[in-house]
Amino acid sequence: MKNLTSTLKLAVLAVSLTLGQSVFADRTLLNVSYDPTRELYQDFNKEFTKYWKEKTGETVAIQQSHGGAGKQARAVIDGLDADVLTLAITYDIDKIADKAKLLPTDWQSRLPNNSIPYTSTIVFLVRKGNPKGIKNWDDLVKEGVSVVTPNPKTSGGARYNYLAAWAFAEKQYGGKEAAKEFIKKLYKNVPVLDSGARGATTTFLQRGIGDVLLAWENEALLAIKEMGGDQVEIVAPPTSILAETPVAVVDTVVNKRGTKDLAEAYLNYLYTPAGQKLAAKHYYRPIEPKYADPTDIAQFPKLELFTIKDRFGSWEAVQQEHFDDNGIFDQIYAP
Amino acid sequence: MKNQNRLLLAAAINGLLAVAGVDVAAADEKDRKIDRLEKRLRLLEERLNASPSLNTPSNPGKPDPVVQSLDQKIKILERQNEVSKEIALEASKTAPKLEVSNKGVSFTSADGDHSVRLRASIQGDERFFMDDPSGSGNLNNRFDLKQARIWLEGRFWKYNDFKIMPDFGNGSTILADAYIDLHYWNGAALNVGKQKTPLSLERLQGDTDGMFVERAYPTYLASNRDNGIKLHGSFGAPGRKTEYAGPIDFKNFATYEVGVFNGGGDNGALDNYKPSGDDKEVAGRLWIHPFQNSSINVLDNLGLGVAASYDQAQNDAAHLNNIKSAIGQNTIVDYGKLKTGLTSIAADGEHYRIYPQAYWYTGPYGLLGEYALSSQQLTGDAGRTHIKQDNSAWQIQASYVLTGENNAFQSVKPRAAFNPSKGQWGALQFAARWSELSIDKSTFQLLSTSSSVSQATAWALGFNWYLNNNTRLMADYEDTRFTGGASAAAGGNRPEEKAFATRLQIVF
Repeated sequence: MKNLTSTLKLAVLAVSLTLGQSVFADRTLLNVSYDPTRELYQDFNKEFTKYWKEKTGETVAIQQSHGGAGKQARAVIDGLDADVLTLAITYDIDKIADKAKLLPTDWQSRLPNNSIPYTSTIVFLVRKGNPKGIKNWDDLVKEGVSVVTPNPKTSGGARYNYLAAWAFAEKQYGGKEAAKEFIKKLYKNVPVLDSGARGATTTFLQRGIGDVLLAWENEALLAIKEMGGDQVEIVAPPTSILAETPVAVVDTVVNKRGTKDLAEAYLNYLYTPAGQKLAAKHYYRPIEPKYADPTDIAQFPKLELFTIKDRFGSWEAVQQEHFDDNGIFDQIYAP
Repeated sequence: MKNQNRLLLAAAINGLLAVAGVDVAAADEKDRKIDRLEKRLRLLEERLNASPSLNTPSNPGKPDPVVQSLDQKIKILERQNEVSKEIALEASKTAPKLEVSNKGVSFTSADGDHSVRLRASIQGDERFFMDDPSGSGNLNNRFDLKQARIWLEGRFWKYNDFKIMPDFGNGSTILADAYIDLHYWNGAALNVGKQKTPLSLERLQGDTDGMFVERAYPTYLASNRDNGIKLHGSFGAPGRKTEYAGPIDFKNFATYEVGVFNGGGDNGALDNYKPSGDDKEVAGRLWIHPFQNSSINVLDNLGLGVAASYDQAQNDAAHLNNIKSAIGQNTIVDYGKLKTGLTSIAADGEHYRIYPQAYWYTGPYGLLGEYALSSQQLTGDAGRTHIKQDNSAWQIQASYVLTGENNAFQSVKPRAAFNPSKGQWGALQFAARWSELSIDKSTFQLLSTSSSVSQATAWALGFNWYLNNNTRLMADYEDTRFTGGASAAAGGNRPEEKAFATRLQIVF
């Protein structure tokens, strides 16, 4: 009861502070992001608002919105006024540019490294001691292995999971048909399809379901940190996919709200030494590792990474073939 | 033995799980299955713990794989259920809502900004006359289909309302209402189209909300529905929020309406009025609930108002409409029956009306009253005769809800719908009214005294049985005495009219 009361007090205080910040802020900025970036941007926003105050004297408040990447993109297309997007895959921002015309289609050229300030990858999170002996992608299709991964139609992370497995199978067993069969077997071993990465983590960690969670590397490292490492452990497969997580300013919204300079500064701050250091601290792979704390960098397992471009050509092609209605995922997955 | 028992119990639970896995769509059923499985699992565990023979683990320190497997299956079912509910909740946030209820059928967008509602009303009337004379004075008993309306009303972009309401009653088709109401600001909304002119209180009462089957005489001096444009606004009581309540608002603290209309004359312009000149009618109304949300609860629903109109008719014969007796619906002022030797009559000149009005509803009691003065210039006899006609009317009506529900200007809501098997009888309301109409004496320089009355005085009793919020049975008796309206040979005065009317109406 005492704990509950304390928690409530803290919650009230946190809400008051957040409201207070918004109420007293000169301007606000809405960052629409995907599921697992909550903690990164909570820290980043604090640092950025401090930096901005020192630089300009202006008090700003940054609001965050998180959810499955696909769902978030749809929300923006449907009218959610995002000043900046920090999403999981470039395709979701392309959709916003193409369908809602809220930013130019060449948005990736406006920031360094194709607007990708940090990356991640997909690893396996298994129960302590790895009782099912899961080491590589082909272990996931074995009978009796229960795999937790979210729905690739709604989650960016899940699309990376799916594509990493597909690329492995295509190379290992030769050809699309073999890969299709492999993916079909894999999803037979998936008992629950959450709509986002955070939900899948809940399924695996909080609900105790499954033998392996296909997880963002940052999400897996965070889980180890929060659970103390005595319940789960990370297994890095020999090969995985490089998750290039893009950021962009939403021109139409910032022009309407008069936040263009603020939004641009916010995203550029991700590329500064402070921003890069924070990304690594929250288990994202910074594009400039030299700015990060070496102990943070040392946590990232060494594995062979390939990109979407390397194996699939483009996100657009991937989306059409695999995840659009009646695509391969719809063909192979039967709940 | 130990393994056999385990296998039997495991088989039983697996059987249940297999059944549980078949129907994952029905979340409630799944919840129940999960409950049953959990109970069975607890029972199994209790049995295992209670039985020394079963409770001796073959591999101490290692969790039992059978129990572990069952535990996983239950967790998966529970999580699937959670995820299904999350997905359903998400979907419900963006899915449009279809609602079928006693308020009709409505479709509403997920954000509530857009909606369309289908509604209808039917009024089936019967009226017969007692003690009416034989011969030409005979009043025909009859059945009427007073209303047969089906209408669409709705809202787009949160602030753009519309209503389109044809009426197929009594064998003709008219467009009763068809308007657009833009209400971006509660204090200043704009209504354009065919609508009720803001004058008579009883006219502005909903057509299916009145205490009697027909309105009283003040309404017959007001405009009917008319084409025009109206600015209206509402204001909440001091310290209270204003809530949009439609173009005719009896909910907020204070309201105003002011508009310009074609102007069809007294009791006119139901449907086909075509203005003969450029003159237009300006009408406005102020209404206030002075004690709304005050400490004087008993006066909370006291409403006071005044309405007025002004127009300048230009030799407009269509401006003059016959007036009927209230419940009897027989013509008592006939602008088509002129004084012998005259061939024409028209409204020509200034026409104004004043309508002080009030109501008061508290608990089961209700009172409503209004006075009407309609002053207009008439010309006849090819322009040789010009008169000023000051007609007036007033009414007061009282009502009481015998079953104790709150009385209301906008229909009584029964506590329980009529259902004899449950001993529920709906709501019963008794009503009485006195109503008078006076036609200016100068009128009879132009009209035939044997065809039009100069005075009508009526008292009426009414009984309303609200079967539910939609269906009402009404029974009214009205006694009307007239001055004038008959030939000298017939005594000069039209015979007393004793009309009995019933109505069954349904509205949603």
